[in-house]
Amino acid sequence: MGFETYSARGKILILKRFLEKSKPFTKELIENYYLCSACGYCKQVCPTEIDLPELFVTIRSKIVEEGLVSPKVRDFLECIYKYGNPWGESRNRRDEWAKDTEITQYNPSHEFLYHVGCVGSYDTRAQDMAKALSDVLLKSGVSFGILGAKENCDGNEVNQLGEKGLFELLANSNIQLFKDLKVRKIITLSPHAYNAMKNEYPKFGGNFEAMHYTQLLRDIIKSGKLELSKGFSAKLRVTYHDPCFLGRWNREYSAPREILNAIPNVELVEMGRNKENAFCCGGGSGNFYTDFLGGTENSPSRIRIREAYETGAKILAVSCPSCLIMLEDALKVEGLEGKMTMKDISEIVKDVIF
Amino acid sequence: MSVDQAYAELVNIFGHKNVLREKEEIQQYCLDIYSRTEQKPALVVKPESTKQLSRLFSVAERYELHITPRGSGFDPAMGSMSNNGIIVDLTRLNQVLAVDEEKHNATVQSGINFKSLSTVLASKGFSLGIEPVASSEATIGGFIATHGVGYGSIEHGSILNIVRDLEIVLSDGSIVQTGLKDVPSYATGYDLTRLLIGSEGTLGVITETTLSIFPKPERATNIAFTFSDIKVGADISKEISRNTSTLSSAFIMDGSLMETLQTGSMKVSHEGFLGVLRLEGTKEVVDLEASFTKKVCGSPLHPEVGNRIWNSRFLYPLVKARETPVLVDDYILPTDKNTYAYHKLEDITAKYGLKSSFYSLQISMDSNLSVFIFYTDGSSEAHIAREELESSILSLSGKPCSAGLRRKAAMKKASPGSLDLLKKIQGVFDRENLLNPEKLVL
Amino acid sequence: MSITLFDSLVGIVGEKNVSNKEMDLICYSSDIAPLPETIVSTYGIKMPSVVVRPQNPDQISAILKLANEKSVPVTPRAGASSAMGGCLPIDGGIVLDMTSMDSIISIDEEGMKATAQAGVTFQKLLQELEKRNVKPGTYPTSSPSATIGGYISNGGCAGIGAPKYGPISSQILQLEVVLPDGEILLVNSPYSSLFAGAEGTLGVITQAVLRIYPIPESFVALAYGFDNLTFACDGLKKLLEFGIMPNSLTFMDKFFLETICELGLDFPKHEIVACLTLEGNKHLVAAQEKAIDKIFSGGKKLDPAFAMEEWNRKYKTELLIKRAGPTIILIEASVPIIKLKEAVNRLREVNEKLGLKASFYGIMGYGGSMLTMPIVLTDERMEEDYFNTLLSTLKMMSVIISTGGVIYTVGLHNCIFMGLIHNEKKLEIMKSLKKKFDPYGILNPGKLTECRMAWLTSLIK
Repeated sequence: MGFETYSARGKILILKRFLEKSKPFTKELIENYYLCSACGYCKQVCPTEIDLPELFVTIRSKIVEEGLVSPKVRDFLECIYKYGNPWGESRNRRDEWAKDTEITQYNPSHEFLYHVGCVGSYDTRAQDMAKALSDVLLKSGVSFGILGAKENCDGNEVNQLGEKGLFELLANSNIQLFKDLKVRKIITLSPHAYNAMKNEYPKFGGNFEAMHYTQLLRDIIKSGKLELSKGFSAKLRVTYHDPCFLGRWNREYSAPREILNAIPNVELVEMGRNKENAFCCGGGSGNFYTDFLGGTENSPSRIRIREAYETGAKILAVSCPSCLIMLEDALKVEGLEGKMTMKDISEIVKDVIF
Repeated sequence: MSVDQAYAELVNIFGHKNVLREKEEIQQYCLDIYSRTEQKPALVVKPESTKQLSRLFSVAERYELHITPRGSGFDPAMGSMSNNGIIVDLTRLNQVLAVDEEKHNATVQSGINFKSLSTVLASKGFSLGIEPVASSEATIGGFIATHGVGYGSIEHGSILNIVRDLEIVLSDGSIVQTGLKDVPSYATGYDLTRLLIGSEGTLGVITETTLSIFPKPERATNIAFTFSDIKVGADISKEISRNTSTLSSAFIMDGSLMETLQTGSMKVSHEGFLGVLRLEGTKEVVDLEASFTKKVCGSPLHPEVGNRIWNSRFLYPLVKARETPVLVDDYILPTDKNTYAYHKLEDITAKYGLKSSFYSLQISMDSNLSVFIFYTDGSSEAHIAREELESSILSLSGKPCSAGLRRKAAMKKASPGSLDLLKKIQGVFDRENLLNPEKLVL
Repeated sequence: MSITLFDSLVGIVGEKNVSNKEMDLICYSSDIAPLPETIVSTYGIKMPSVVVRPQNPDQISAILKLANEKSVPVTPRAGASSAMGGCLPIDGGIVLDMTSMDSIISIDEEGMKATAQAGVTFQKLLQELEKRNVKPGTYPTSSPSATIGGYISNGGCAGIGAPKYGPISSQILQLEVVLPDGEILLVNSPYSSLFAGAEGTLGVITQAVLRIYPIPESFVALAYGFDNLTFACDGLKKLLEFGIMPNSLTFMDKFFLETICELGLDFPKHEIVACLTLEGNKHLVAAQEKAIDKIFSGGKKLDPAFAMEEWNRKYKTELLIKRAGPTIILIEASVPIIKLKEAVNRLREVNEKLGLKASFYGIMGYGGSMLTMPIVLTDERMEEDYFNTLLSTLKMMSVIISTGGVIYTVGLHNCIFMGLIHNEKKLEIMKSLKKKFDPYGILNPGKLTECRMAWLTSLIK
């Protein structure tokens, strides 16, 4: 919706011209490549099926190598390196959200490692989501544990931002830690972690059975281990937003929907742009922190909130902590508090079973 | 006198019998066929070929005589009449030049009328797809020049979609082929063919055209029904058009027009209105949709009556049979305003103590071609009534089908941007300002 | 560039809708065709000095008035999904990015019409209309980028829906246009036809009222493989003869299919593969399918799953072959179907003689025409080779014209063929029309009737 320069086509064209004519990169040119949430839609629509997201990561990695990243990106990366999270919060506070729960530290006797991720661990709103999922898992009798203060950033965003060196470090140290703890199966709260562990870690020798929590929850519900018959007291219209790293990147569109459809009195409606055409919340590629794409009434998250509201849904369901915080902020800015509620799927399931 | 000299030169070019000036000879060109209003041309020329026609213009220019092309003169706006200019009667250019059954097109001279053309096409298993409502003796050239719509438009649209190529003569005498031989000319620069459509003889004289033709449908069924409230007819028409794929014509007429319908011994009551729906297509689908249509109509008339009514569907014979002058106006109206327009006609007719007739043909999902007829004995009431009705129709977003001589102001009000545009284009095509300078352009 | 022009434009559209940043200017000086240095210098293509994103017709009117005053060229542009150079600002000046004007104003399902701004993409229009169970008639295979204003301006008589619903210009009920002198006009059909195919040289289309259609009861995708060009072309001719108008029909030739398969996709390998879709009343569609099976009996009926997949991939297939390039030169020509076989054979001769890697992709158009696109694989990094290949493609176009085909969209690159297609008098009329509407020659100069590359024709011989 802005100048074409910022579209995928524009990004490539100007890079080509600058390289052809050996022009020095300007600050604005560099910033252009960070105006991207790694949603993957460009790859999907490209008739020539070029792996544009990978190309953009390569471009960003060159920018990182040359030391030309903007201060916000630099801060993001430095904090992750030093503290394992982008906000520079203490590592010791990583599992504070789990303080009053019955969750235990992961050990090899657990079936699953529950990887919470940075957003779920430190953001107050996302912590509700982390807690809700753990409550549901505990109620279902799933055998799992968390790494607590030992948990480190999964690195997906670091990779997307082009800091290949740091990503390699994170991946290797995570893989070593998991191997030491004899981790076999991992459930992630965030689709970003799911993507990194499923698709990138194997390249570094980390072969674990990574699943997103909605996939496990769906199986649990199917097997009858969770009693959902209570459902909601009245018919409730819900719409679901596909997170890019679960949906487009990993083609998982059905698990979250199967969960929602299994709840009595849920009327699931789709937004115009759904599944592989879902419109990104704008939080990917570190943008939930850097917020390069935000700031106007037509930021991705505000557009998406309006789209969700148009369906008449009372609840906008998500399955990603980044989506949750991006869209909840947008909901407030759009003045829709009270008219529509943001809920993560684990929160919805929790509401029904407790 | 310059007209005498012009006459002499024209006789040289066209031959004695093709240049008319005597009162008796030009009588039919002076009187409007509907209202019998007089508008006298200086001369009438009847070319026998395009080349011959092209030689007219230098003469006209020298003697400062403007030119009005004419087909059969069915335009209610008197577009083919001339005040002291030269009328070019194109009806001698009436040959079918080629019918290409492979490419589905036919090349004809513009002065051929629909009756002759359909006969030739029918003998080869084709039809033209659309035809005028006034008369089958209207010419194809006139239909093109007035952006013709009519029977079949629900299926095929207007003549805009049917014309593939035109041969025209410009006011400098040059003969131009506006289109391309075997391919559509929409993406090869400015589409000159399309510019001529609806240009009402102000840009050039249409002498030949290549048109799309359509294989005759396997099955055609005419379903006629009567009704007393005009809204009922409108609702039926709407429902059928929304739920069938084979509807090609849907029209209604009021009782006064039914009086002169030729239904032979199978009389139809003249109370209320008559509606006719024609379905064309494959046997299977038409039969299916026909039974649906009959159900919606309630109690349709005998199929033979439907066929006879279809065979006498042209308006001009129905009106002429009354043998009084009439003021006729045709408009394109939004379908949902059509009923209001009819009621306006009723009110105004009563107000001035006149007699009137109403006819309406659906031409697309949202528009109708409606004809309003006032019967007149020459008194001024009919003209006043006509003007009042025109105002109402314009306020209902109606638009006259042609501007001609009589309806320029109405056309300007209904479609101001279009007229301004045509004015600009005319400056390019007709630099000598010879063609219909009084028409269309205010 | 004088500061006052920039400031004036900021005054008209606001600061965030104007840019003279180098990277923006670079982006807006291109369409989807590559533009290596040789082309730029040969054609004398300048960089634009500013890009503007107008929000409404009044702003465009003010911009055009200003442009006339200061003799600055203005080039309208939206999706730029054409390869004919029609939206290249070759004389520099102002580029008018129409994509801000992307609202659908109203959808009238009773009256079967939709009103939308010129910058709405056909994909967006399709999606919105689909919600109400209606659809546009004709739309291009570049619908994700192509806009209403662009498709109308470029002629729009080939694409999805074209054989059945006709050219886009017959679906226009009304256009809102800003003339080069700044006047804003509302023009009804048939007079709106002036701007259809005028390629942004007579006015800037800002809004259109288009006819829409109910989504038909039945929709079916079919595909046939032919091992003989004659059988394929004869089949197509019979389709016309029988008056069977598919909703869409595309064809791919052997070289195209082989190249795609080499790229790792699983396409059936035949001399010609034709994919088509039918829509309409249930019985009609069934009857049409039966008839087509008979008409195409010279070929093999392919798996309907493949046909459906091709329909779902309709926006992509044509350009898939670019992976084998890495550059492609796409020629677009409208060939009468009755002459298709001859045209393809003659093109293959040229192809062989000149040693080109050309394949064919076709999209059926209106009125018995086939938008035939010879796609030539090349590499723009090899500048001299690329230029020679480009010249060869120009030769291919003249061969097509000699077999009775014509160019499809004039733009910049096809101007040189106007004299082959139209006679002197017609060209004179077109030039006069242009002069009448744009006396100062500021709107999209150097295109359509204003050919500057006539000398290229001598190179083609």
